[in-house]
Amino acid sequence: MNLGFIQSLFFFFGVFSLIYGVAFRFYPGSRDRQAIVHWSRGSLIWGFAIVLTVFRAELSLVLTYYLANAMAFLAYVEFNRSLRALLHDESFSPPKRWIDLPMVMGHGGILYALGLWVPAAYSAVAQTVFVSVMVIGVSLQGAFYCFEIHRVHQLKMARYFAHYHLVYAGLWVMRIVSATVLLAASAFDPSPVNTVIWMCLFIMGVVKFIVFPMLLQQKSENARLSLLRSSLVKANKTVAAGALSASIAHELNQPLTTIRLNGQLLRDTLKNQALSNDEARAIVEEILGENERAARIITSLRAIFAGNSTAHSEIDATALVRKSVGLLAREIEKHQIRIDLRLDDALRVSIPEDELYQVLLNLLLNSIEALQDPALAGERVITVEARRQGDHARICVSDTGAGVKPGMEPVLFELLSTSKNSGMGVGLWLCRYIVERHAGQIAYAPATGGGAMFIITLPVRPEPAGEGAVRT
Amino acid sequence: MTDSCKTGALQRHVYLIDDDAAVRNAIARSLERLDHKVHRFESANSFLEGASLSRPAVMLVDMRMPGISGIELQVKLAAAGWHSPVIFISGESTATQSAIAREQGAFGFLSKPFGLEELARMVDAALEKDALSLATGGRGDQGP
Repeated sequence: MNLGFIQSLFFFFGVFSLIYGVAFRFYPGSRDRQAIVHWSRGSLIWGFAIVLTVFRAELSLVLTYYLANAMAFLAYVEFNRSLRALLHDESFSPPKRWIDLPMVMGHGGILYALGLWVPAAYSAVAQTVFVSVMVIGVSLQGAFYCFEIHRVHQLKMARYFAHYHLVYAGLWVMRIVSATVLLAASAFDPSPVNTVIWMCLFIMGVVKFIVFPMLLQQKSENARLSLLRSSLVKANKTVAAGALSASIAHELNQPLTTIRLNGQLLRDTLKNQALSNDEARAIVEEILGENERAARIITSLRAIFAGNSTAHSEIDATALVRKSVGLLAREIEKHQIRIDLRLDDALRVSIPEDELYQVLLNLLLNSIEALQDPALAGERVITVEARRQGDHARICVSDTGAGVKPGMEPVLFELLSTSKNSGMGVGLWLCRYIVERHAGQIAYAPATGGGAMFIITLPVRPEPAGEGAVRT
Repeated sequence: MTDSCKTGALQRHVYLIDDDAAVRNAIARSLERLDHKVHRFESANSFLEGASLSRPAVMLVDMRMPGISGIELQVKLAAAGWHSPVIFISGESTATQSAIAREQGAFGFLSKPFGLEELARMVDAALEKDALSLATGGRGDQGP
């Protein structure tokens, strides 16, 4: 047996692939077992096919050409199955193995048929074109899987590997050109162009065997990091829950203390009639007021822990704004605040009524509190605007108070970040929690007069047909 | 809210600092019923700016307030030579906070929600102590 340069390359690469395929089965530390099994099997089939090809002069062409080419194709398919397993994280239906045999037979059969039916002068060219087209096809499929892996798993290596597949397909295009134009169809044709193409294909074959384990490595590293990240998020949530319950305890303790002290005072003084009617009335008023405050805390708790059962309810935001302002009318009047409502009619948003109600009350209470500052000059106004903007509803609550203190803006919506004299920094956090849970956003901006402005955007339900609403 | 002692040694002073108006009212009303002179402040700052102090006195301070916290106030008072007892009102203050306050010489703690009796007992005990330290001419100390 006299091996030429390209044959030698074939032989060594074939043996290398066989050893690599056996060894790869024992690749350690990765959880992508299916991908490893396919890759190993692909390398073995590949190695076997290539070694077979070398003995084209010694063995029957049926084995060394038709079977070898068909097996090489199967190897490419196996490599792609491996990539697909990586893409789907093992959780996909395994490939149908029974298809392998018809695939090999079909591939070999078509090659054979081309040899039979195409005139002898062109049969080798036709066969090379067929083989090349098939390889280009699987390479493009491989590139697609790699791009998908990059997109889904965020692996940089996968993008390189995708480009690798494209270049590989390009080389086979060159081979078609070389076969048709230069008529160098045989793999072992010693022409320089053919030699260069095969050199490149071999180098790329080796590169492929190096890149894939790197890809596996990067994927398990990523999986480890995302596990770490998710456990951090969980820990963060636990801390937030702890902080929240501490804050709720504090909030509830305030009215409870007041109610208890006032109640006991009332009881003790009633015994010896040492209380004037006015004093007694003031105490009872305070008890009732504090009771309301405690009830509000409970309502906000309900908003936090409410399930998603009413998540798809559709409500009229405009009506809800009016209702919220109505509930606080006494407070608003007491502090001589003017309310300016600028509302679109029937602004339908998809959020449970209780929850948006909670958000609006929170924002309005904040504004009312901001306007209680005796140092404020000028008219005290709260403006509530609810308008439709494209496919969003924009609800804007602004006041003519002093605005948010400098430095507070970045932490405004964080739990327990407060600069106020009352409340413990749950309100705005809760607002954001609720709004974001329903695909909305809440933001702060200084109002034109220098006060605070909170802007909520929520997705609007599409208008039901026949209501005559015109959309521009 | 400045106020100096005009009714002699019998008038006992409570300096109440709490940011929650309703709680402040309820505590003040309760203590006024017991014939204490209650000076109300809504923040540590307004106390530091506005108070002229009379003794015997006790200070009732909410631990958790925006601005200067109870513990920070305690440090400032000690530095300024305030020797009357300090009682902390705490909602859900942490063990660490209580430990720091104790170490700094707090007279006691009232955890919300506390009752009238508890409040009266602790305030009276603190006032008793301050009166005693005043009578013996000592500068008094803040710790039990």
